[in-house]
Amino acid sequence: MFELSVARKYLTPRWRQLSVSIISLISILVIALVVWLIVVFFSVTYGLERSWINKLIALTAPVRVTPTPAYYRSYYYQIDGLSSASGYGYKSIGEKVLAENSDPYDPQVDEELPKKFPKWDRKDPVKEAFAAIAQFPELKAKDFEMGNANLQLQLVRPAGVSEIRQGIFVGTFPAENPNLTKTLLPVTLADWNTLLLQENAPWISLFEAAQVTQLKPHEHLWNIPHEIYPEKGVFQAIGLSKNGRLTRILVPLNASEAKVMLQELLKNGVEAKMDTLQFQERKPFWDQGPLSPAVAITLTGKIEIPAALKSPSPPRFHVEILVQNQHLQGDVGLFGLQIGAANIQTKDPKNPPLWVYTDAEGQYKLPQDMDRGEGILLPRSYREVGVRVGDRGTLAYVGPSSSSLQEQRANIFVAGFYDPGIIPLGGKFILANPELVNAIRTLSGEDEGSNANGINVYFNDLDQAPVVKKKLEQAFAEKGIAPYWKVETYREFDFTKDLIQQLRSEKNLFSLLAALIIIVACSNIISMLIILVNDKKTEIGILRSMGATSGSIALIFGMCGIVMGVLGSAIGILAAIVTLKNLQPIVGFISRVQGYELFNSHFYGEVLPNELSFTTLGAVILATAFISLIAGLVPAIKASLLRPSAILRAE
Amino acid sequence: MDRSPLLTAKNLRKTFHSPNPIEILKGIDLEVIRGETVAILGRSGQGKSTLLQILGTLENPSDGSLTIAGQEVTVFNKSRIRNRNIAFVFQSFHLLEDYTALENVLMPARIARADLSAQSPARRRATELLELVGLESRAHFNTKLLSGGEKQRVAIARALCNNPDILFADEPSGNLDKQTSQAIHELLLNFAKKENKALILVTHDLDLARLCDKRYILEAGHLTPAI
Repeated sequence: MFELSVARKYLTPRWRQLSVSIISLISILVIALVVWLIVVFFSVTYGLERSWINKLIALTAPVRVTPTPAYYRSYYYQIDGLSSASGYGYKSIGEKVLAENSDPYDPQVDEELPKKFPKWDRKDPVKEAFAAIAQFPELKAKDFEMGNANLQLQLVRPAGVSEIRQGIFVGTFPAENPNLTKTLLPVTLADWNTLLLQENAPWISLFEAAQVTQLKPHEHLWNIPHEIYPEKGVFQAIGLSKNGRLTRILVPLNASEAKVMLQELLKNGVEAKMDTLQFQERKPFWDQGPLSPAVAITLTGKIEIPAALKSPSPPRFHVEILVQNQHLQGDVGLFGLQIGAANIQTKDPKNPPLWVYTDAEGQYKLPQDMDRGEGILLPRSYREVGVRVGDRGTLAYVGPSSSSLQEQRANIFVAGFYDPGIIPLGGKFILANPELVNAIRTLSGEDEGSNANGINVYFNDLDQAPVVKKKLEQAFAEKGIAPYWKVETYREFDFTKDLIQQLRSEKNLFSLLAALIIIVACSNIISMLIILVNDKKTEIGILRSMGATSGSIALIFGMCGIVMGVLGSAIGILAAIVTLKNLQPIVGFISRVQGYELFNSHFYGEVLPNELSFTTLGAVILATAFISLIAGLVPAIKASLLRPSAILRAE
Repeated sequence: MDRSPLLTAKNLRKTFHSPNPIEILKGIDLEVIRGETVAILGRSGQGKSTLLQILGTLENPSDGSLTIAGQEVTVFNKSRIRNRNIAFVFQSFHLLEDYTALENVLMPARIARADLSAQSPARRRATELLELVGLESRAHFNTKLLSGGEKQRVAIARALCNNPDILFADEPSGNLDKQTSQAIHELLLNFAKKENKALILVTHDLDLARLCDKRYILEAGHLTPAI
């Protein structure tokens, strides 16, 4: 194509048109920079929004069905309070599902109904709602409850015992939720070591659920137990003494470290002496004589002891460690040691562990323990203040009775942590098994008007939420139970609505800004092309004299504009992809330079999420191409309007 | 031999309006037939170049009509006529810089969107034309590296690329020495005679004018035949 070949010639940098080359290079770089910024920003905000929403959905569901006031006023709900078959108590949705009769009232047994008591419309809204949801095979429904209680946790640590008390919300552990994985935090070794330290630690089940591969001392020191003294051998060692009496012998992991260590000790005024420590038939000798058993032989250095479990209760391990190139091996207990590495199982363990796990079908389970009570799941903020898996405590909940306020307590233990993302009440929302939540809610008697009871509807594709909502509303209407239920997508939940709207409006605002910056960046193209047109006036005249139409001339310069815009955005997009691939190191670097975290992990998660948004990418490419075309149009029209006779005559 | 008129100009007028209106051409009538060579003479400032540019469709006349190769020139067919029916050779060569000699010669074909692949007729013709002007060895030279005479020969080869009916030349040898000028004149005149095309040139060079079939003098806006 003639126009393209000429445009290409004009855009190739040349010494003779240095100014044009520099300006075009700057224009392209500015566009690239702007595109880079926009793509990175949108990818991160898109990723953040996705990850926040995923965490949100992990605790609730993409769509929730809650009862309306009409439900609570209905005969169906009210009748339980007057029926002996229901124990004269209102039923939760979960109980309604299990109830044998939709109408438990028995005129023979129960007292007469008041005159203004609502009439029964012969419908069972709960069972029919579940049936309506079951019509769609891709949907899964599970009832949920919420209540409030006081959490009290006791932290038993070697340094002492401390206590945490806080008022919290308790929600049903959403075991069926396919998104749960995204929010659960894995059990750590810190949890494990705390569990081991506890009184009555369930050693057998602990070691069943995890395969220990390494032990390590609490500090860089380990008193070598007699059981693993070698048969024979000579080690470089340092004897520490007080008033001439030997108190301890330090054996560095590597012989070469002994000298440096001695110098350090002497510099600090410690009475120390380097010598060789010898063993014969597991008896240590120092200075020719046998060593008193009261003098500890302490291994120092970065000690990692390969270990295998020998017996679980009390735990003993077979260890084998290389000290100064000589093998020390034998069976040791946990004294002075902690678990250094272990494969902790959370998938289908033989016996239920003390943490959240999945059973053979992949279903999540919150453990219950005869001794400890109910396992609960806490938000991550608790872990940051030192709470660990296995810590025990109680949940206290109060219910009014006719004569007094009655408090009940349930024993609980921490079975894991989840990341609540940025839900406003995230820090105060704990999850427990449905029975416990039901007990709490029933006692506190909260019902009407609150969203404390309802049905979670799960499915995989989040974007389908509005469609699912419409489908359910229609199905409910067909069954005639629409007045009893409110269907909401995650965008409409009372505790997410504001946040999601805020995210959206910020995105809109930045989109507007982005459009403005792209326009400013592309406007550089105008000045560059005007200079180019002036530079190429004679050529334009020559081409016109050879029959090039004014349209062709305009197209040449228009193309120059588009090529610059597209080239700039291509460079920007490439740079953005590279940046996003290396986002973590870059964020880490900036955090180090500025001295504090660039993105607070409470809000953004441990790893800054990002997801390349193809909509943004498409929009940016189209916008730059379009704006550069418009920018190129002004000089292009100017070029096409030049009269060849005037140019050639001037020459 | 076909002696039909290739160019017919009737009552061509041109008035420049700034700063004061000056009518520089006052009704020019001209007919040029195939194979004819025409020289337009005149003192400087008489409007020779303007007339040539009007005849070559680069400039619009204030009044009058112009027909080239049977087509009345309008705004809509000007570019096509320039590309297919006429060509120019300028005093200052007007080659495209940053292009090689061959690329320059091929440009009219490129504008006509002809096939330019290695074995295409257009490329063959361009090579032949460079041979004709004796510059086949310079085909891949950048035009900046050529001498004045060579540049003008490339310009002639380029003008002939799309095989035009009329060749317009404005002082084609104005910037060249005598010997080179003669070679250029020969090329131009031969083209008209051999290919049965028309040549219209503006010149001060009486020797060149004498070689043409017809000579006109432009004076006071009127074109009068000269002997």
